[in-house]
Parts: sequence; C-alpha cells; structure tokens
Amino acid sequence: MSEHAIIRFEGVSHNYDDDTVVLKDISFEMERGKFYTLLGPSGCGKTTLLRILAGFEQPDTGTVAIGGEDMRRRPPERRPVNMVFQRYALFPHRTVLENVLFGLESARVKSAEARERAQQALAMCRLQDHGDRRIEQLSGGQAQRVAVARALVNRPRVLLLDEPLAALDLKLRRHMQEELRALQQQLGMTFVYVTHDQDEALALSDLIVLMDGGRIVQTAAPRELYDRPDCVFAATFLGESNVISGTVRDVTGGVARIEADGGVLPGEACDGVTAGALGHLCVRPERVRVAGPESSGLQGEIEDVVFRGATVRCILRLRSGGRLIADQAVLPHVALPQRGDRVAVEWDADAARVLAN
Amino acid sequence: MHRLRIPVQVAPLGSLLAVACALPLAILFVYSFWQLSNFVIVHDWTLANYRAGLLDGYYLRLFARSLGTGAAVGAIAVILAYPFAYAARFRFTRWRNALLFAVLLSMFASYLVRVYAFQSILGRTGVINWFLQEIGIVDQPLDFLLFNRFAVIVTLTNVFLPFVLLPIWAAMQNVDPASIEAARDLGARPWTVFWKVVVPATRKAALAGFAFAFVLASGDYVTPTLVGGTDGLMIGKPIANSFGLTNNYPLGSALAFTMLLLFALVVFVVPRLLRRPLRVLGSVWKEHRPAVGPRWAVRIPGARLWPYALVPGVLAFLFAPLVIVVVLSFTTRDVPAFPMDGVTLRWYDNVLGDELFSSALTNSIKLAVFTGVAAAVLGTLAAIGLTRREFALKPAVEAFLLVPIALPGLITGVAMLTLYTWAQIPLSMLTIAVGHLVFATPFVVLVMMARLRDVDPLLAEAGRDLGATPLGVFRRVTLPLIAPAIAGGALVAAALSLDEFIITNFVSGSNVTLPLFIWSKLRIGVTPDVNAVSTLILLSLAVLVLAFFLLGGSVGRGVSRARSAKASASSRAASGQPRIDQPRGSQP
Repeated sequence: MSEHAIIRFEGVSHNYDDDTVVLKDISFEMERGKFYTLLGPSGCGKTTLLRILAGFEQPDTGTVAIGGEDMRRRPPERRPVNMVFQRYALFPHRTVLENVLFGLESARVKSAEARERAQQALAMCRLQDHGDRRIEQLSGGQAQRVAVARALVNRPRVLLLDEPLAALDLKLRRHMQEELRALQQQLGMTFVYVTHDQDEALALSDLIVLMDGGRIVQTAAPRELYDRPDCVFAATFLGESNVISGTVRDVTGGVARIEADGGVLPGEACDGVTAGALGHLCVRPERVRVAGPESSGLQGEIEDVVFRGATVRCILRLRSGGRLIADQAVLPHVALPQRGDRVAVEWDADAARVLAN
Repeated sequence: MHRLRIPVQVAPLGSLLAVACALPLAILFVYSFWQLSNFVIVHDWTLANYRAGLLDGYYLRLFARSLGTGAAVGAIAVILAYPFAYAARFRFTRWRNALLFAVLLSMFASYLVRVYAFQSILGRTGVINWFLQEIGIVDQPLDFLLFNRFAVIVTLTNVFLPFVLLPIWAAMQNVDPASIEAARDLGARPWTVFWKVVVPATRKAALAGFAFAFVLASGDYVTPTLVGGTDGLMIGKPIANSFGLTNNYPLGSALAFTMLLLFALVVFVVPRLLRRPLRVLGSVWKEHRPAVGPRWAVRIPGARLWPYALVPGVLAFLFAPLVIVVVLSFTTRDVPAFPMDGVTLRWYDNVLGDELFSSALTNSIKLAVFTGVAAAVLGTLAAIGLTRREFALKPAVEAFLLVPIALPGLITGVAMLTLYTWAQIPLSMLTIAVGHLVFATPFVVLVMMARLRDVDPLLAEAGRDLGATPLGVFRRVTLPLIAPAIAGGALVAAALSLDEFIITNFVSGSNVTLPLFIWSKLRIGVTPDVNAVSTLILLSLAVLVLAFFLLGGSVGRGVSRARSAKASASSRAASGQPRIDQPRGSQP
C-alpha cells in the first residue's frame, strides 16, 4: 500500500439478494487529499461502492481499508468517514444547528467545544446566520450546505458525497460545484463524489473513476480521460466520439491503421491493439475538419446541419454508408456548410485513437 | 439467513395475541365438539352441535338473516360513502379537514349510545313519530319503525358507515385530479370518469370497507337486542345467550365457528366465484350496448349541486342520534322522549350521586389509561418490527397482528370467556384489561405503521453515519419523529377502551364499566339517566378524538409539507435534469 493511499479496495465483490452482481472484483487505491469522482451510468455500482465505504453494505468478498485500518465488520457509526446524502436526509425535528451538532453529540464532544466547532462548520458553508432555522424553511441550496456542514464538522478522513446536487436546478448546481471544489481545496480533505453527470465529474475532480457494469473501466484525470480514453465505453460515455470500426492493418511506432469506410485511417494505438484484429477508431467531433471534396480524406455528403451557437454540427453520410459527426467553429464571414454539399473529412494524426475490441 | 428472521419487536404483541386471542379461539373450537349433558359439559367428541346449527331451521334462518343484514349494511354504507368521499375530495376541498374530523368523531362516538339512540328516534315516542304527529300526517304513532329488520339495518349502517367511509376516503385522496382532467380531455363524460378513473383507484378500499362492515354487522348482537324485536333477531343473540343465559358453551361455540366459516366464504370465496361470470357479463354488455347515443346524458337541472344535499344529509344521519341523546339528557320528563317539557340537570345529579356510576367511572378511567399506555407501547414496537425490513412470513405475521380488528367482538369475547372458564381464571379487572388491549392494540399498529412509512429510511442511515448506534438512532431520530403519532395512538386506544362494550360484557364478572352501566340501565327500564351517562361518555370521547386529530393533524401537515418539497424537487429534476438513480437494494 502506497503511503499516500487513504482508501484501499482489494478484490471487492458484491451481490444483492437476488443474485444480481453489482461489483466485480474491485481493487484500487485512492490518494489522500484528492477529489475523486465515481462516474458511470445508472446501475454501474458506483453508489454501492460508496455505501460499502460508509458501511451500509458489506462486500461479499474482498477487503476495504480506510487510513490503513481494515473496515470489515466495522459499523457505519465507527468509521472515519461521513456522508452527504442524496436527498440530504436532514433531521426534520432538529434545527440547522442541532443537525450539525448531531455527530458531535454522538462523539460526546463537550458542549462548549461542540458549539464552537458547529459554528465554524456553518460559517464555512456560509450558514452562520441560519443556525436557528427549521429544516423545512430552507431552500434547496441551503439544505445542501447544511448536509455538507453536518458531515464536515466531524472532521472525517474522507467525505462521501452521493449525488448531492442532483435535486438542484442547473444554475444553483454550477454554483454549488464551485463551492464544493473550493471547500475541498481549502480543507485538503479526501472527497469521494458519486455522480452520473459527466460535466460535474469533469468540473470537480482531480481524478475520475469511470465505472461500468460493476467494474472500474478507467481511472484518470479529467483531461486525460477525455483526450485519451482507454476503451470505447470511456470514449462515448464522457463526451461524444465518432467510432469507426474496422480491421487493424498494422501497428508501427505507436500508430495503428485500420481499414474502414473505404480508406486506411491512422490513429494512436492503445494497449491491446494487434494487427489483423478488430479495432475501433475514435475521434471527437470537434477534431474532425470538413474540407472540400478535392481533399484526400474520407468522402461524404452533408446530410444535416445543426446550428448550435458557437459551433455548427455537420452530420455526414460517408460514401461507404457510415455516419460521422463534425463540429465546426462558426467564424464571421465564412459561409456555413449546406445540406447536400459533397465534402471530405480529415483530422490530425494525434486526434484519433485506435482502441482494441 | 439473518434477514429472514422475524423481528423481536413484534414478539410482545404477538405473544399477547397468541395467549389472549389465538389460544381462546382454539379452546372455543375444542368446546364446539363437546356436549352439554344435564347442564354439565361432557368431553365426548361429537358433531351434534354443528348438526344442530346447520340442520335446525331456526338457526339457519338466523344465519341467513344475519348475512343478509350484514350485506345490506355494507352495501348501503358503500353507496353512501362513495359520493361523500368524492365530494369531500373534489368539491369541498376547503372543508376537507373539518369533514375528516366529523367522520373520525362519529367513528369513535360510542357504539352502544348510538344503538340506544335509535330507540329514541324510531320508537313510539321517538322523534320521527312525534314529528309526524305534530305536522298532522298521522294520528297514531307508527309502530313499524322500531323492533324489526329495518331498524336493525338503519342502526347498523349508522354505526359502521364511518368504518367504510374512512378507507374509501383515504383511497380517494390518492386519486390525482390531473387524471380526471385527462379523462375529461380525452372525451369521457363525468359518469364514465367516475367508473373508469375513480372506481378503479378506490375499489380495493371499498371492498375492504364492505367486508369490514359486513362481518361486524352480521356478527352484532347488541343492535338486534335493542332495536330488532323478534323480526330483527340475528345469530349473534343465541350465540351470546349460550355463554350467559343458557350456559350451553358447546352449542354457542359451534354456532360461532359456523358464523366465522360463513364470513370467510362470503369475504374470500364468493368474490372469487363471481369474478368470472361478472367479467363475462361485462363483456357481453360492452358488445351489445348501443354504439352511440346519449343514453346516459340525461341532464337534470341542478344535478351538479348533489353534494350540497348529500354531504349534509350523511352528516345529519351520523350525528342526529348523538344530538338527540344529548338533548334528551336535559328533559324534565321521566322518559327520554319528545316533546320535552323543560330543561333540567336533575339526571346528571342523579347519576353523579349513584355509587355504581362512580365505581364504573373509576374502572373505565383505569382501563382507558392502562389500555392507552400499554397499547401504545406494544403497538409501536410491533409497527416498528413490521415496517423496518422485509422478512419471511411478513404477510402472515402482519395478518396475525391485525386480525382482531376484523374479528367480531362477540367471537373474541366468548372465546376469552371460554378460556377463563376452562382454565378457572376468575373474571376481574385484569381480564377486562386484557380484552381491551387485544381489541385496541391492532388499531395502534395501523396508526403507527402509517406514520413509520412516512419516516425516510435515509434518516436512520444519516444517524448511523454521524456516529449513533442503532439504539441511539431510535432514541435520537426515530422516536422524536414518531412521538406525536404514539401519543395519538394512545388516545385512540383509550377511546376504544372507554367505549368497549361487547368483549367487556363477557369478561367483566362483577366489575362495572361505563358502557356496562348503561347496558344495565337499559335492561331495567330507560330513564334519562342513561342519556346523562351517554352524554358524559360522548363528551370524553370527543375530547380524546379532538386531541388525536390535532396531533395527527400536525403530523399530517408536516408530512404533506415534506411531500410537496419532494414533489417540487422531483419536478425540478424532471425538467431537463438527469434523474436521481436510486441505489438498488438500499431500501429497508
């Protein structure tokens, strides 16, 4: 175990009573002080992983360690983590301050000290004037901040956040994202954040743990994950990708070429790509350039043009029958492509990645 | 697996019901195969009692009449309850709380007093005859109003209507007005909307209400005794007599079990048998009815105003008996009859000076306090066990804990009496207390289960996450949230105890409670004394129900506020934002 790791999963698997497998042999470590996001579609196991950390679910096999201590058979109340719940789960019979005091009462912190710490936590979440409010008087954003303050005041080693912003409207959500990010950096605390919202994951995280079907697909920094996805799922779940499948002709010097759509297309070769096997070439729509038909790229026809403000999206039908999406910057004095135009598409060599099947 | 174990919280109530309800029924069952010979029970196994019950024309007629009466009461109650609940939901929305309070009040307003009241309404010297004579429609009082089946059906409908109204009311609250608007928008006429939208959403509640009224009305013996005469006699009377007057326990037991069997047939088997033919009939009707045509579109002027007649009418029907009893408690005449000559408090003086009354009052208060506290504790525990998590046999355990609600008091009462006779346990305040507890606790379980279901299970997890042990979570989170409901449950139990007559009548021995005091007065000759005692009972019941309503009301408001917050959050989520994905399997 590396000395910076605060959380370690080793061979964790989990099934529910009806034998549906939720987590399959998860092993990985999380570093101290980083903002982690567990990202994936519904049912990928991310919430279960979080609940295992909190102690609400027990893994069927494998071990979980937090701060070097084995958490097996350790009930939720004795774990050095606290959670911000999805619907906040604030206690309706307690005021804001009393909610924040709950954990300190459990830990039998002396009441003078507890009050001071609670006030600090409220101030940190910009709620210093709301201590006496009743829960039902709070707005959505305030309730969310109370939930964060109630968890933080206990000084957990890890803060767990289960889709904490899902119930807020878009604008408030953006704002709370910034606040959470600032709070995390100020405290230097490890955050583990569950979401299915890719924008949120990109905006917040030091590291994104991308999950699918009960497995961890890829763990990487947001930029890295976006630019260098390891598999087709990663390429298509986070942002959009054109995926062109074909046979890999050869792999030389880190560049693979695949035969597809009546051409030979080069791209950066990923692990596991071998000549003669099926490969998938992925290229982001914004990296695709639309050029005149005289160009050497793939030939096609513009099927539809969608104006999107800063960019224009061209949906192309390739001569081979495949479809491709290209986002072009909208520049003044430059005419937009028209439906029915014959064009060719091309991209820089480093814009495409060839992924193994 | 540990998840399947029955939770310990249901154990206290479960054992109480096993000892004080299931065991007595088992012993009663055994008795039904024994025999009475020279006034002594002989332990010779025989089917003679059942033969007597089923082959004797006398009992057969009584069975038939009881079931018929029960069915009529259930049907009339459902027919009255539907439009009342509908009007309260969609037309008198501002008065909804007041109407609900009225229904609750009438539900708890003394059973015995209301039955007695109908003597003062339908009798020779009753309100109706007095009124008819005053306006000169008749010269002589009509005798056919009281002491017959008609009087029994009217009285029982009055008693059980609130029990049918409440479930239909609750189901009606869940009918979304938007679904009605959608149906109208799609071209359905009001009547079609009612059949295709409202009825399907409330049918289960209506059937449950019907079954409840049917069983309790069919098994009643007090109403036939007080207002039935010979024509209105029902099977409950000979059963009750077997455990008192004639002391023929075996025959009474056999009749009681035959009655239970018939109830089970009507409630569980008959609907199943009827389902198919009804469906066939329905499809035949659909095929052959005229395709178009305004058959049902007959417009009656002012028809939309029906709620203004129906709702006050039902309320008047529910409350008239109570008002009349109270009014007649102040009469200067020696009989509780109209017209009254003047107003006096003499009858209250009389009653308060009566030693038997003060002993009955003390006993009733003791019993109500005991039942309130004990039922609240046992009922809350059981409800926690039943709502916290899934376990094997859950439906069976739930049914076992709730079944005393649907068991006619007559059966519970005679079964308990039989147990005490068999085990030679002397009748005392304790036997009454056990009877009240068995009767009242299941109601508390219902109240508490409804409340506990509204407590978000995430709150318990949040408590654990913040360092509280499971017991700490209960003390610091769950208990404060359900405390008002527990108090409400205790009040309900106290009210039920204060008013309990049927079971008490069998297990009281020489002890007197307020309803028993009224009953004894009714048997020796009615004076306005009875009205004075009744008024006192009604008053204390009204106070209890009001307190319950205020507690429940505040709980209800809190819940509805939480719900509306949740709804607005989800509508926000629905408008262009991804749905919250629920962790699977995290439900308790």
